[in-house]
Amino acid sequence: MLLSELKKAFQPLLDISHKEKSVEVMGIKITLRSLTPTQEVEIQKCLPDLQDSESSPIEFVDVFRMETLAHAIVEVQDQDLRDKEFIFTGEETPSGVAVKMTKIDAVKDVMSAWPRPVLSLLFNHFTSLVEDLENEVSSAISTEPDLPEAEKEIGEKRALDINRALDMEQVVSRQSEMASQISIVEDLKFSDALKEVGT
Amino acid sequence: MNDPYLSVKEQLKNGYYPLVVKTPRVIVEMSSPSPEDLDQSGRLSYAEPEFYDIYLLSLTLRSINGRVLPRDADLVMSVLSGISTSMRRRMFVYTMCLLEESRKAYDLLEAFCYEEESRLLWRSWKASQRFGISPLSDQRALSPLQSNWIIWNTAEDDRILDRSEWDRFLFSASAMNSNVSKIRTKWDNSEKEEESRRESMRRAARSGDLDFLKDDKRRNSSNGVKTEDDLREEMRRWVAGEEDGHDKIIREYKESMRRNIRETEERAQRMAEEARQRRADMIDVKSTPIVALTDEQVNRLSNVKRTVVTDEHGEKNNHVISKYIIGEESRGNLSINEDGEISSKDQARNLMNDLSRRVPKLEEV
Repeated sequence: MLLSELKKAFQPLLDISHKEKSVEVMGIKITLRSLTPTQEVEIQKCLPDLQDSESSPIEFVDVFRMETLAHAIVEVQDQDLRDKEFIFTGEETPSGVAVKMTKIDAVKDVMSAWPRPVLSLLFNHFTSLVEDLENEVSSAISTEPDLPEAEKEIGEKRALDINRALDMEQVVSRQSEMASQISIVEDLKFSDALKEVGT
Repeated sequence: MNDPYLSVKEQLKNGYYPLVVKTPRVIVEMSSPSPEDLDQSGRLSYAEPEFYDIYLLSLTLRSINGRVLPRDADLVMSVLSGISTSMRRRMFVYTMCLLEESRKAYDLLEAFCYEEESRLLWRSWKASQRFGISPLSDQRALSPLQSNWIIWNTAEDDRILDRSEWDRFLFSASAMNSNVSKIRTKWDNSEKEEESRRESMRRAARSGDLDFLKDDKRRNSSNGVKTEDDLREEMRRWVAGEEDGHDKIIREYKESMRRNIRETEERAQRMAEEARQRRADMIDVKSTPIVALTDEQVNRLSNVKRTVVTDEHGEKNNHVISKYIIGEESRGNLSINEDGEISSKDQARNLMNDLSRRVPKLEEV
């Protein structure tokens, strides 16, 4: 069987397995798409090593979100990024060659300027897209013979995903809480120091 | 009612446990992975273990919308890697369930071998082969489960043949040797025990009450608040692509398969050993074997006198002659009295007469 024939055979399966969702963030229309296993592996490779004591959970969560969204965004405004691997930056080298960067790096570059709540909102949209896809696939698919054990395990894994997303939220909120506590302490110390200077 | 042996029968028929996944537009046929598929996936993903499940999935997909897929994991994987993670995960869970079914089939195989249905299937396999038709559907090699089943049935055929010979032998030997009944009792008890064991296996399988089902508790979830270390560990496992449950299923499947192959071989060995012991018993019983004789030997044996001459009949004849033929006639002892009744002549033997003749007398006190 040729690769083209194989792709043709797989196309119906690929069609039902993906879903896209368009959302508007800060006035920009962004289209998100479900990930492929290869993309998921690429994301995992970019994540900081949690055994490394220098990387914190919040850093992990930030990188995870950024990488996931960079792979999931397939359209910004009218710019279709689906089949694009590289994007031209608009700059040129001294020799006159147009500078280009990978689509992933370009999207990350843009997103790095976005505040954390915006990234968080976009990531939530992505999570709900995955949830919708799970529901659609789950209602459309059936097996012969029935595999109730499989459905149970899939349900458990979905619950695990939801818990993981909640854990990430927890990490972020803990971090924000800690940051606010530090600022209170710092403010008090600062005011005490001022008092001491006054006396 | 569900057939408890469905997974065994499917795997004997196809060499794998099949699954059809349907959506309104797509129909996918999958098969349970073979031990070779598991090894092959391990080798292909050696450098990138995170692709293990995709490679395994590539090997378990058989057709999409009727188009049979090539058994080329790299080629299939190149296209399959384009599906969504949701679908990939779902299909991989199906693969793991198929593996579980395969494992159960190994656990049920022994009980199935003891069912009459298994023997009928075995006979139909042998009959097909006699007509030059392979009972295997487009298989190039036997699966371990099929091999196990064939080993067992071949051993069972030998056992039945041995037993039949044994029964015939005992029938003829019992006429000549008093030890036969002891030996028969010994082996009858052994067979009763074996039959009882088989029956209990069949009952357990039919009711789904096998020990392996009790151990199938592989899910553990905690609802407590996670510490940062828990979170770290969970994230690390996730990043490393470690799927504890699936690793366990694969490991258990391999262990179960190896154990069952070993047990089948041991059972076959036990059967052969039993047959050997029966033959040894036969040699003991053959103390006076039946042998074919030539005419000359028969003549020689017929000339040997093996009788004792006695005059017992002559003595008896003399007694009869003297009593009934030569002896004088004597009068009988019976007569008819006045009332016309038959009575003995010897009145002295009559108790009433004795009483009437008694004379009363007084005794001094």
